[in-house]
Amino acid sequence: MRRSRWKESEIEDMLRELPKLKDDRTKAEVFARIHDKKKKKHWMPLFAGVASLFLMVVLASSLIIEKKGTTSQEGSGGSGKLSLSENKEMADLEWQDASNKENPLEDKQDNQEFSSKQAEIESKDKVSEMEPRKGEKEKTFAQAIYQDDLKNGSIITMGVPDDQMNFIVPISIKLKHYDESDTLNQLVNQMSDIDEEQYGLSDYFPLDIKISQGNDMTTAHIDFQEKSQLLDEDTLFLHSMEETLSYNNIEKMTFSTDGEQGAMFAHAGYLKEVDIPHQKNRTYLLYQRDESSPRFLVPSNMGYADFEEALQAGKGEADIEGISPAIPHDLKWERISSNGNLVVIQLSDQAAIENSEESLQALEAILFIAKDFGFEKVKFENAPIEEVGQLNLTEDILVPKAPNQVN
Amino acid sequence: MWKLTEFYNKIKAEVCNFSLGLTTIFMNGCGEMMDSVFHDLYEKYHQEIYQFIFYMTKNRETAEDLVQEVYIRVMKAYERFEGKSSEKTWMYSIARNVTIDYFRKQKGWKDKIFPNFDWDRQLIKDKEPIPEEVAIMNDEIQGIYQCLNRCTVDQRSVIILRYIQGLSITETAEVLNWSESKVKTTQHRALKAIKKLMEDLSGKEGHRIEKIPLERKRN
Repeated sequence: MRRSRWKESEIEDMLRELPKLKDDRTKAEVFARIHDKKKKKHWMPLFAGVASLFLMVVLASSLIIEKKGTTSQEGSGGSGKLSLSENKEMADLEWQDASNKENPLEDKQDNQEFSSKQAEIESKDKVSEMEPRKGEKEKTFAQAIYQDDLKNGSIITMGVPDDQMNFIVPISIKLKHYDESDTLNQLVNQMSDIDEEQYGLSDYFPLDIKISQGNDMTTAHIDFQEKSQLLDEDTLFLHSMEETLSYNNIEKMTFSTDGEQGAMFAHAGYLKEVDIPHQKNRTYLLYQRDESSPRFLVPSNMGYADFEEALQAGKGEADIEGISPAIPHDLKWERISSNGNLVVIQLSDQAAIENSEESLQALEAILFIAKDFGFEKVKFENAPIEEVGQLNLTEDILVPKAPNQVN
Repeated sequence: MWKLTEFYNKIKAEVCNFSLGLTTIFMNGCGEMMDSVFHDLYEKYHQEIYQFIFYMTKNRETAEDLVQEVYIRVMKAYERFEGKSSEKTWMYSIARNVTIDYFRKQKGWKDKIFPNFDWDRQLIKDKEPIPEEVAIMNDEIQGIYQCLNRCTVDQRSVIILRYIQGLSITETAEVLNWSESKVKTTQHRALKAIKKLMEDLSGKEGHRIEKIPLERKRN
């Protein structure tokens, strides 16, 4: 019978019996191989060093080339300038000649194709026209424009669809002062010049339409080409135009198709005119496509029953990419009362307001919500600090003229 | 602006990397004094350390490579050797670290691809051939040799250091940087594990390595 049992001491003995093993190599051999190995090892860090140097050179040269690229573009911008101003003159002429049935926008668009490639340069050329914003290069935060800002300047506001075409984002461009009668003209110019994508928005403008003044100063007339794509995508178009024109003192738009009165929209049906509401009782949220794009205030698509409800909705999370609440949760209020065109917001003791961009944008969101409900002034009571940005919280604050200044 | 800063940081990192590489070269390069250190250590410990690594890895070529690696590490760190432990246990602990690093590298790619797959269980037979010195021994010794690498690396280290290399408990504790009691308990567990493995092996392979009691034979 087999017995396969060992005592631990027997195992210990067997372990001790394991044979001695020897390295058969001589000392010289081992020594030589260590040296070989060491030498081999030298190559790795050396190789890594050389490779990283090479990478550095490649990276550096790409940076240098990039720089050269921009300077040479600037150089060519000089020659482009001439033709550009020519374009403009032509366009202006055509605008004055409103009875002319030719399509100046189309011509302009053709030319624009060339010039849009130089969008950056162009905007540099326009420095004379545009009011540069004081000392701010990083455009992460687009501020509102107030009445005071317009003492010696004018604004054009355009409603541009966001990247996903969910919302219409109003963006404002501050220009040197122009006469109010020139508004539509300026609007068309800005529509063809704007580079929406640099703001994280959809490339929407210029549109394939003619915009001219209607029967009176507050009416804009829009002429479509027959079978214009805009007639099919009318929801977005009407939404965008309403938003755009509402900031530019227009109360009504009238339509025509190839000169014939009225336009047949795919969804809205046959329309001769549309009133532009200036109060839609909406709330405002924040839109930012990504970290490199600016943060914009964007009006909601739906309206709210009363001001407080809209304010509360400004704190809500919309489950849409790029959209976040405009008013932080810790900005709380006790009571809201209104007196004519003034609304008073009694802030609670713990309301978190500091002198920061975030707080400023939250307060501006509140101002715009108030504006959307027809209020003209807002008073914040019990504010923890007196000033946020240029807003003086101790006084009645006039609601801003337009949101999201981008220049 | 961020682009420039990033670029600057990148360059900084590259330069650091590069100079690190150079330091390694210079450290390895300062030669002759190290040669005498090598000769001294070789005379004293070479075969011992080789044998230890061999029993740990069970492969002649691997043991040869690793013992060289031990010398390279020893020479790099020789100036830092503080004499807190004996030279011998210091050599052993470097050898053990080299071996463990080798095991880690070996394990590497397989475990990265199939992290949940138990490779060890598949290796029922040793892949490595039994060395001549062991092959001429009796079945029991061969069985012990095979069981050696079935226990954990820690257990194996203790068994090899204690019974094959003949180190004392204190020395073993120094090599492994453990307390003596940990050495003792690990040793106890290792012996138990090997005993069990031997029993399993004899069950499978029948008479080859079974132990027939002497008394029985006499009767």
